[in-house]
Amino acid sequence: MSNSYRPVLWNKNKYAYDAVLIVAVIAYIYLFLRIAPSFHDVTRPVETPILRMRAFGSCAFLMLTLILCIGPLARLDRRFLPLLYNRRHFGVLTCIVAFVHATYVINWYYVFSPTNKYVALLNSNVSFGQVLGFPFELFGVFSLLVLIVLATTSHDFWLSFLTPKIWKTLHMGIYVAYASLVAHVAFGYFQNTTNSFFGFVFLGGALLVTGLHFVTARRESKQDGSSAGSAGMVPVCPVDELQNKRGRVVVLPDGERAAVFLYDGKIPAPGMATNTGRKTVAHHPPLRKRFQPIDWRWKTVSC
Amino acid sequence: MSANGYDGFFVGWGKKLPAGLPPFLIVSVLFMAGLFAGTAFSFVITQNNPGDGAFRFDIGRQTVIGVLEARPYPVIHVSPNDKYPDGHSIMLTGQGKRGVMQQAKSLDGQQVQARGVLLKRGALDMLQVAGRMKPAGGEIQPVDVTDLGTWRLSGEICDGKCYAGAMRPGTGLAHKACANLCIIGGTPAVFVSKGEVDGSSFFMLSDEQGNPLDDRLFGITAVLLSAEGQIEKRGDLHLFKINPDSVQVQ
Repeated sequence: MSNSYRPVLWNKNKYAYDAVLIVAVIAYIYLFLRIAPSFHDVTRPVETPILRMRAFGSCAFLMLTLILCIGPLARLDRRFLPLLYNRRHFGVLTCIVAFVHATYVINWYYVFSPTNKYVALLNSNVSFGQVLGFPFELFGVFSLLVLIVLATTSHDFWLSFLTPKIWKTLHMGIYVAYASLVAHVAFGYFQNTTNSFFGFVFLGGALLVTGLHFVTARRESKQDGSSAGSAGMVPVCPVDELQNKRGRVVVLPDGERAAVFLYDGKIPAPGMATNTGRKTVAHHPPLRKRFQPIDWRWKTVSC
Repeated sequence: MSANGYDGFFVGWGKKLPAGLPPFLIVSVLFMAGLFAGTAFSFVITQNNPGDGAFRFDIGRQTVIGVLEARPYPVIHVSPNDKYPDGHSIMLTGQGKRGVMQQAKSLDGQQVQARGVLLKRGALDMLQVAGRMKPAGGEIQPVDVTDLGTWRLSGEICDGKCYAGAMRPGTGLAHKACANLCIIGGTPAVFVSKGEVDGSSFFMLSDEQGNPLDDRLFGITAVLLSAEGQIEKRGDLHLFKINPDSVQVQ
């Protein structure tokens, strides 16, 4: 028995999701570079490469902010779940946009010099001892490296290969990347601009992400507390409360979440599901391993 | 049923969205599109004005003749002529983030001819030298030097080339690393002051002995600071002999 992986399991919703994303990014960049500058009251326009790095950098920041809002929004209101569905592609596109930003920065500020541009990136600003002028570039480098690792591993193969626990831990690195990105902006452009609108968007975005996570965490901690069970057994709900073809989420004693499904009048238990060959579980064989330490008492039962 | 009345169940690979979901998604997407568009537009139109500095490729390569002064950074003091009736002091730089200090050393104090592309920002001129400068012969006019006394100025240390228009904007923290690379490469370091001295808010920098900028100051380029030093007017260019020990980052 083996699993086969395809780059993307395309379907109608993924096509629509990606189309909206790509159109939105192109529209943002086009507006930023082509339309808005004609309304900018300046003696001479901002240099094109600098405008481009600002366009892609701000776009990446907004995209990452939005990505981190989707999770809590989907928990607070299930109507946001379609945005969560293809979030991996959103993340990969964000990584590409951030990479373009970095490319413009490196090929503008660090070239035309006797020093190699990558060496210059690391050693041309070493003011580590001061807040104003701190090497904010390194925060950006770190964020980009994390985004690249996450984008590369955003596939079921890596989920299976690394096991869900390691994969999830790795992908929680997105919060570290975001914190580093906030520092990148805070120590860089934000320190230097008198542009209050930018300050509003930047602080508003960072506070929105923090606030949504805080609200969701508070709400879910209450729910999680009510479903915690005793050793070996995890109460879920009375069998007749399960709806056909739907799952019921339950928090396991170790804090992980699992779902119990009612399907065709049967309740598959995760430990046995792979033997039944059911499609919903067969795609995630590592799930079986994760559940093994728990003494599962459920069996496939008829309702 | 949830509090908002929605009881659908979204299946990613499903062919049909649950009832009530499409209008919500359309409104959400439109809201986000509007947010992105508004942000892009507002971000651009509220950027700081980067000034009028620019490469003057439009007027072609320029040839200037005058007395070359190699320290702290190469400057050519053009004698009065048709183009500059009162004479003019023009800073010199090389291609990219390179200066022309090596070349200027052997020509220090001589009448030289330099050719290249002009960078201009207000009254500030800089020549990006193409090829080699050569002795021009002719009478050597002494450079007028006026001591304007000791001043404390608030402002920013930048590289003269980017500030003059090689980059727009050529100031600020985002430009700090570039400014360091330029100054290390030999491009004239300059001080852009918040206030004016003798009608100028722009000063070429040197240490107290008139040598190139002290290495200790590379860490505080592109940040707002105040510093004390003697100001001299050499030709029509102002020189700020900064005292590194007096620097206070603001």
